[in-house]
Amino acid sequence: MTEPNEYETAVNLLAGVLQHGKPLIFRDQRHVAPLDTQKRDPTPLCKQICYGVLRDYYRLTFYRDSLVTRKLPSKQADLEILLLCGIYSICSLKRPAHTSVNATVQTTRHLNKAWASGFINGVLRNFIRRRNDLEKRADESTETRWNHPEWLQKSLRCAWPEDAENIMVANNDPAPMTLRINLQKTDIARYQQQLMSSGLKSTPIAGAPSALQLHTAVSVDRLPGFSDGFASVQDEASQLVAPLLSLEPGDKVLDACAAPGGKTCHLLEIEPEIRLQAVDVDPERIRYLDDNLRRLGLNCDTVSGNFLDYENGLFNKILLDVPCSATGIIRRHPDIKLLRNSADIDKLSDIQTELLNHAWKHLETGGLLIYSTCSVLPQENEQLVYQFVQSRKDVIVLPVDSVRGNALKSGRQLLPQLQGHDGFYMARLRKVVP
Amino acid sequence: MMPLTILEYPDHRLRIRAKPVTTVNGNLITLAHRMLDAMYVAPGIGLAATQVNVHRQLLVLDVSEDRNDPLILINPVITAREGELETNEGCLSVPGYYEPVIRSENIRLDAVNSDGETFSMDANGLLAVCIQHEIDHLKGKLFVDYLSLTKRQIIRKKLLKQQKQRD
Repeated sequence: MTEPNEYETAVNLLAGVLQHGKPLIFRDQRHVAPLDTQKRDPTPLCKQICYGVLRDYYRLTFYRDSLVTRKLPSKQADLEILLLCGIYSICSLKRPAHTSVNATVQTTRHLNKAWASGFINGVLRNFIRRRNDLEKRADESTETRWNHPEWLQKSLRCAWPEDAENIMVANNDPAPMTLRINLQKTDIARYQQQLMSSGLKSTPIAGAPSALQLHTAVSVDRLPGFSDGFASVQDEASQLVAPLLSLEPGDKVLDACAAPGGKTCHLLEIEPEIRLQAVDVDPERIRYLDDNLRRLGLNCDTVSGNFLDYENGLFNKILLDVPCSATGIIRRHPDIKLLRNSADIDKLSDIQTELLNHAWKHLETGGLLIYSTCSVLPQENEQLVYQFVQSRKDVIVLPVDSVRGNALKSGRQLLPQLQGHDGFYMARLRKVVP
Repeated sequence: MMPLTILEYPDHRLRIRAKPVTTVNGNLITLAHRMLDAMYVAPGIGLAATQVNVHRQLLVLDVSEDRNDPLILINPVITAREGELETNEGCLSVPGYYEPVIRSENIRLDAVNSDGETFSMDANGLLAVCIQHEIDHLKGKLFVDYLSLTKRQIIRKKLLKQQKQRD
């Protein structure tokens, strides 16, 4: 049997996003070990094409639509996507342009559309001829200039007038891979040494005591002691959250939207002697949480169900890492740019407010709640927390001290950095006697 | 040693049913390794002995990303099946054609390994599809047999024409 064609696989995966609105998640992004070798991910080249096309979607679409002025019938949507893959390969893959053209033209056979090979070949060769001219014209519209949808650019420019363009540049750049070292089992220096002997260079990060940033991303199978729980994959920004709860032995802790459990496990690594309940609405994602707990040798109560229906006493510390637009991690999930719209943000912030109110009911007086998102939109972050604080008399906002990000009136906002941390927001709230 | 040549559809020798292997000896293992070489060069992810004109129940596979995880299966028999999976299949004996075929998504099989020991294994996804595709070869069956008669005729004609031009 012949190998599946990489461009064909990419076209199918991209059709999922572009035509059916399905998010694109690869198995290795779940960072669950041991990776089942039989259900393998697509090849690195195929993944690179998928990510590349989504990152540069607006620009690539502009190129294609300038060359193919007639809209193809919907039956030929796969050819339109194939053209995006081809143009992306020519622009960005480190290989001669004709290799990219050949591979793209070959793929028409795999799509059972050998009749289209001349068409694809023509368009791509046309692109190579007119590339300089088209590149100049692409900078005229802001959508193609920044490769971000209009609504998101507007929101970003409005929220962060100074930083919006930096955010968009960072969003289109691949994210680094950062590890959280399990300090229960080893220490940073020793693990860094172990990585070194496996040929992996890493750097510690100031202000994130358990973090090591890898110089190149690798599959988790290559991390020493990964399946024995020595390290997990977690961005620097998310690693700042768990320490904010200042855990002590005996604390009654609730992790309200726990799966896949990065922060849950971090809580237990910091202080194993807590009574922790982890809740998540998605039973499938709870499985990832359980896998992570098992791998790291940790224990906690996991509950599958909607947190809004959850009634189970009081806690003195609560972590509320709410579902959000994920606009702070677009560089890890470029499909977000295409799958979200501005109406989603309103809906999300309603849900987030509801979750915050519900979590607040479960917090003891004197207790501490951390609200966090991986969003960079104030509607889900600062504004939402500000309104919550204004609407109640039993809450005070505590500062979030960190060397990263900007301190706001309520909470701290981290914006995505090139080769640095993700976009992230966190606020610390204490419940007081009104 | 000469590299093995792979028979091409509609060669009638692809229709011969393979006989079970009775003893696993050095000759068989050498053949398996030559088949692996031919498969990697082609490039393919699976090859059945039938395709190199040896009519014994032997097949080689490697579906790993880095092409470094070869698997040799002797006298394979599928003992359980579950689920359905449609993928675009291509075959080294039907070069240049790719058509969707429905297979079982999860399978369990018994086989003999290169040490002559019987074992059973589970396979899913691409590996399962590939094993089913190769076992079909041992029965004299090709993936084009799952297609409509018209499609098969078109492929047959075009391949015959190509083969004639080459000769």
